[in-house]
Amino acid sequence: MAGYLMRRVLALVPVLCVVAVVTFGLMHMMPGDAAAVMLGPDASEEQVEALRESLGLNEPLIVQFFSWVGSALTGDLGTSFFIGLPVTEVLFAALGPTINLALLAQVLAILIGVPAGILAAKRQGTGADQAVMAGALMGISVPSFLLGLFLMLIFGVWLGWLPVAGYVPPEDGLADALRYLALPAVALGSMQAALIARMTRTAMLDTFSKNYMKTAKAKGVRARVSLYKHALRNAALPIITTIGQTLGTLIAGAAVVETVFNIPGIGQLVVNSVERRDLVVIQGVVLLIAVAYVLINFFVDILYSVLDPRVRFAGGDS
Amino acid sequence: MTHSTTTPHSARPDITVGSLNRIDKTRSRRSKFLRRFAAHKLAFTGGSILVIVTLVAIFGPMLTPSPFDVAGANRLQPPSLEHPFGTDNYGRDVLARVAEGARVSLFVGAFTAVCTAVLGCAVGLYAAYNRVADMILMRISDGLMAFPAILLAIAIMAALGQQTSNVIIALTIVFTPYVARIVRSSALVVREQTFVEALKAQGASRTRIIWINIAPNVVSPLIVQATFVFADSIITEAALSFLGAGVPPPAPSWGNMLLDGKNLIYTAWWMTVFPGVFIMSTILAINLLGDGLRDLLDPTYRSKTSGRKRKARKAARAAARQTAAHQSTASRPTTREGESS
Amino acid sequence: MTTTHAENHDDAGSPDVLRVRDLRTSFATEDGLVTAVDGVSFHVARGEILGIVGESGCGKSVTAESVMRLLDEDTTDYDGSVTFDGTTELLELTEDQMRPYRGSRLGMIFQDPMSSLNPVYTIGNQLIEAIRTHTRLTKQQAADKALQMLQITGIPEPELRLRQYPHQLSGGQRQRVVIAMAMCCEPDLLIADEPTTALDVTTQAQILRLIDDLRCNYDTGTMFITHDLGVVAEICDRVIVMYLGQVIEDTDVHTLFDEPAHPYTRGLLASTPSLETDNSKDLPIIPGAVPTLTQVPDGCRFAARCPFAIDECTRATPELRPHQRPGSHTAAGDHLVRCIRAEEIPDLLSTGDEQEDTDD
Repeated sequence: MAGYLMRRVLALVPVLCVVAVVTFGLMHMMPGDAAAVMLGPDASEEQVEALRESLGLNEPLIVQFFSWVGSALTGDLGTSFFIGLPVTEVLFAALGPTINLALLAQVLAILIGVPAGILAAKRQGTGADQAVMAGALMGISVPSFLLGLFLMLIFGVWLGWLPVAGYVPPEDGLADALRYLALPAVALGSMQAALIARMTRTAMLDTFSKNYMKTAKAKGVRARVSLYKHALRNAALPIITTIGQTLGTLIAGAAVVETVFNIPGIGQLVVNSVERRDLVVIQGVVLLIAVAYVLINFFVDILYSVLDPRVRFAGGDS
Repeated sequence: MTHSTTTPHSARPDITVGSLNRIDKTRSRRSKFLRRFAAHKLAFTGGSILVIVTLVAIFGPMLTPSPFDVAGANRLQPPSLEHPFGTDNYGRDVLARVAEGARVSLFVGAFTAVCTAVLGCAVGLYAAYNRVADMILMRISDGLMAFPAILLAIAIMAALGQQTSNVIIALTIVFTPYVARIVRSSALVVREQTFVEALKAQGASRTRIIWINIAPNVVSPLIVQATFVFADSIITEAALSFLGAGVPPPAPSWGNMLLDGKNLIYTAWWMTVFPGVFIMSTILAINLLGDGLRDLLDPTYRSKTSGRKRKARKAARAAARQTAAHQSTASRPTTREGESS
Repeated sequence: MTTTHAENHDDAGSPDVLRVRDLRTSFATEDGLVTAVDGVSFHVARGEILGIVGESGCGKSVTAESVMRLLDEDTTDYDGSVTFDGTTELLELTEDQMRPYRGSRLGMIFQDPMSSLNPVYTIGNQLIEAIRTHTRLTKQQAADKALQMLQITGIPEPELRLRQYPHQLSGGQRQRVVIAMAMCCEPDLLIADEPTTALDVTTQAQILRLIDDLRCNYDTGTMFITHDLGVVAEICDRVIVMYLGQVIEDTDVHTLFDEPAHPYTRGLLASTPSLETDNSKDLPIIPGAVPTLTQVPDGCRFAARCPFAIDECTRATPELRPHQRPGSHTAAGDHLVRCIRAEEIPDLLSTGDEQEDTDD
């Protein structure tokens, strides 16, 4: 177990290095003088020079990189030259709504996707299976922001059942918060639910063909017990991996859906920063989410080892 | 016992039948694929929808008023005979803009799919062939894949500036690692096969082995993956444009039309619904096509298709019934229910 | 249908724990209906080990799984009769009626001990599940019983094994666990589907001895499926040989080795190495490949590979009929063979004239 943990931690290093290089590189992908582009055509020579100095753009690239990594490690992601606040501060202010939205969508997706996938596998080839798979295909084919717009139009504008846009923090009343988050969460969770349903179905079908399922049947175990105890427990491993791997997409998707519903989270921050060409903030968001993604998958790996004895006791004979 | 080495009955017919079959197979492979494609209802539906959208993209702008014509008097007209999809807040014809948007979306999607396929194929093949290159390229792709697609695309667009060509560059950077991974794993399977060893022993050059001998074996998964990249690129481009970081206005793209639509969602539903329906149908069509191609090209996926097993079973039952009738044997079909797994 | 061996034994109160008559198992596949088991009949007495022998794909495993009704019933059709313990018609039971038989009165050992245990549960958990599915024992009682069964199988450190996961055990140990699982409810019939194929020779011998001991101690009838004639000689009382879904020879183990009647059986025996084999010569092989089940040839299914085949062989499917050779010590009717030339073959062989087969 300790050896396994060690290997997983070591495997993080190259990925995080690439993440750092790419994120750092973003600033230097700008054609021409980054500072001049960021400030726009109206900026004076002195302003540009001041920004170059404050961004450290006059230093050699390699020095810039290591000083950037150094300060990033201490939690200093620079200062937004547009808002004038430290990027870390701006980020954390916007993080709450995004996390709430992503969590709610994820919970919805699991609650819908897993049972649907089990049903489809259990009744493989029947109408129920085809219905679930058709639903999943729709879920994958409708991008979340588009589904959000359609839901907004139907339930907000035409039926008037739910608020069209806006955000209420859960601290100000859970019921209200849920009313505002309902449409965005459904819009965001649908693709996730579709992916989970597909994965669950495939994983369940895969376990059905395994010999230990035959053993269970030969033991006289009831079909229900066999399904939940023997098949689902084994299928859980790839399902959890899928959830972990799509979580990054979910958070990024949250950013897009936020824009649809005017939720003041990371997404709006990014969109506003793109308009302002406030690259330092964008860089911070990208770094934060990529690192979050890597860490989430690290924890999924650890969880995997808890669930799968073959990994837990690595070094055994298989 | 000594009777087993030379027997007139066994070997002779086998050899002739076998070799005939083989010749027959190569000759008819292409037409067989087309027949199977036409028989695959979902793939065929997807392909047909895609053809229609493509026709709209090619001929639509010729048949409709200019998508850029601003007409103040015609602002926000609901759908009518004159403007089937209505007009937007500048009085521009939404149908014309949807058709023009189809051009932009399909162009960006297709161009990205091709770039990604070529680049991903090259990266994947070299990674599969060279262990050092593999280490480096796969760590880089791991790192790139840690960024959610849309976010990395936004960041690249923010750095490069809002331009259609930059959208293609950004999307290619984002999606290449996914294609490279698939190509690499397919190529790894081939690389381990004996014929590659034999070629190496014969002194075939590396370039020759990779491009002439290994590459054809990764074509099927590559085509399937490129189809999905096509769909993902259209979605991501639409999302980028919707966020104001993609195709710059006034050029219409389905994404930036939706952005306009959202701001007027209370007054002009048609500005949201029509581009939205086009995105949805196009993505659905490409996904159907991709799933179908995977079914047809990738034998390992075939058995998992839903519905297929059941159909086979039905056909076989019917056949069994016929044979039973012919032989007039008392066949007792067992119909037991209550089996769930 | 054809007169079969089982009908000859159709007297009331026979000691047979299992009687299979004209079993036909067909699958629906994408290439059409495939009949993997085509009119198979045999019987297993209490305390008897029946060997079922054949190459892979001959339908021996499907026969075993048909008796247990383990195949996916959505795509499988069964026909014929499988009578358990003289009274119960297994093919006519509903799934709910069938379930209590599996694991309690019918035990099964699978070929691959590596994959037949669930990797995410401990050995103890899986044994206890098998026991508690069919009894009202408490968890503790079941755990005691599981331990006792593991001790019987002779696994080292049985207490430790209960707490371990399958991947922590060796192949032989896992197969002992699977055997313990199959035997824990003291079944009347044990079906062993190539239980030793995946194991090394030493372990194989131990497992065979274990199965033989269990047969003696519990008076269990056993269907022992294998492609290994050496194993058959060691453990079986009677043998049926299968080829392409049909029984082609049915006899006791001595007759099979001393006086094989079917050319295929002769070929199998000839291609099995033994101590008496002259090592300087290559082992003879049976020429040709087994035809696939989707293209079953007309007439005798072995004809295309058979050195003695004549035109008549390909005309009609030969029946499984009693074989009697002058001077043989086998009782009439206890040796069945599906070959029209079975009686002539020894003479053909002694004249050494095999090429005459086209003259007839």
